Amino acid sequence: MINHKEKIVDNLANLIYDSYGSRLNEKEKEEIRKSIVQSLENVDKLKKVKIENGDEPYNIFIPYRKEKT
Amino acid sequence: MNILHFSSISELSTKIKEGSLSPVELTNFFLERLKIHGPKLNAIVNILTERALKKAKKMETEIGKGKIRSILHGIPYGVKDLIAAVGAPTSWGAAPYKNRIIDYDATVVSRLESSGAILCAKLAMIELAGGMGYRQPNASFSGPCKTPWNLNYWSGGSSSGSGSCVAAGLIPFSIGSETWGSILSPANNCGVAGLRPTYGRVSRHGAMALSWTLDKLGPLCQTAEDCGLVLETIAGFDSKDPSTTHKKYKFMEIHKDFKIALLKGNIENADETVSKNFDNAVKVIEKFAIIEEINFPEFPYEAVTRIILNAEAASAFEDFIDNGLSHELTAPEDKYGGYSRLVVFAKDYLRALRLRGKMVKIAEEIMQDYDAILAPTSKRMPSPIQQEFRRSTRTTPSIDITGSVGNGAGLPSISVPSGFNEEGLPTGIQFMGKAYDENSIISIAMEYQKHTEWHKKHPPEFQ
Repeated sequence: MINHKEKIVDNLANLIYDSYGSRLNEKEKEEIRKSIVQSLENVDKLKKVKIENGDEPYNIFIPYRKEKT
Repeated sequence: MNILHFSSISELSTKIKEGSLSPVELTNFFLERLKIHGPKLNAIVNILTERALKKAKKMETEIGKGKIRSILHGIPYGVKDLIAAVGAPTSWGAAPYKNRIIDYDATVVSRLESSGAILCAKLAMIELAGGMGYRQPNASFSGPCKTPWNLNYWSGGSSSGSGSCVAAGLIPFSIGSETWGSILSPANNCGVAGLRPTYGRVSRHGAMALSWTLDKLGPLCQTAEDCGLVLETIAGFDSKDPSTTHKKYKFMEIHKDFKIALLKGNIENADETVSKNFDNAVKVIEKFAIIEEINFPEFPYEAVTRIILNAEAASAFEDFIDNGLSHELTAPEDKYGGYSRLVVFAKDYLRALRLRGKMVKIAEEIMQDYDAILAPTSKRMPSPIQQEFRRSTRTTPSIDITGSVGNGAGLPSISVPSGFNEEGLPTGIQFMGKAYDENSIISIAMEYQKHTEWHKKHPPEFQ
């Protein structure tokens, strides 16, 4: 499992390095990798809370139609 | 004339109405203070002399004709430099945008202008409102903004100049913005009142977006009462900002037996002076309110709000990052801080938004019996301007309940000064309220200020 997580981190980091790597030095790449780990740790925390299918995103989309003047 | 600069809005307005003080005289007075003292604090990006004097003359002419628009008629103010205003660039605190012109007034500026207030300055801020994850005060092209209480220490951020200028008496009030802590932090570090309104209370049209579902604009002032007066002017629906509420806001002091919740463990790991001043504040508040200790249930509050912020910031600044502009920012960590957010999965952002609904309900349920939750505004004393301020919080991790729930659930909060440490640096306490119930927390803060003198103390170097 640990290896699987490492792989996800590596893959996400590589996505960034592929697009922007030429701008980044090794120290910056390492910091970005650390941020990805932190972000995934936050996701793990979210996944510990049970949600139901009907639990909608709290942002409600409201269809729009310009009022006739 | 020197007593003017720490006067409240009500005091200045009374003098203007009486005719003992003219808007032109007052504007010139504050423009001069901005010019003389602003650079010492790294607190100002641009002073709008021409615009301010033109408006001041107009306000003076109107008074001559017997017209007073509102309590803000003839009162100078400043705005954080992420708010667009004609007459100066709008930099967002970021070097790449130092000279960028946005040629219209943000809604918040238009409303203040209509009320008769006089825009005098665009105020310093952390680059992109901290959206790239800054870890130090020196994260703005205008330099590290300083608290007027000690020029070796940070003003707080990201609404840095908005706090510093009010505390130094360079402007009677200012407008800042908060996504997570950016109004309350400078209010704390500069020893002034700062109000984060309910999400949707104040239009953000014309203000930089960092996180569409978290961003709020609000006032920083000499007193809690002033925050209510300014909020009444800037609040209200705006068709240009779909997040704004149709609920009306009228500032009104509430007199009742307040019931306040004290968050269990909220001074755990706090700096010694923060704990001591907080305990003293509680003793004062007990004189006019019932205080009960409460606890929030276990829930990933911080993770929810953090993921929402990061995902929305990634979208808001995707082009900025793509174009390599982040590498022109000031703080080294801001040059690369945005990249990791580009790989937040949509499903994870949506999970955070789904859990936000639960978080909102938890907050509503806990707060239904209380007028406010009381907490220290910050557990840390202001940090030295050369020091990475997140270092200390990393070694003593604690959950920022009021920050994550308050901002994640869109709840209002007001910070007022609560004392000082031996070096003369201020501490603050905050009262976080129920959605759309700013009047309760402002009234509690006003009551606290009637029982204390902290807001009447001013930085010696700027007397």
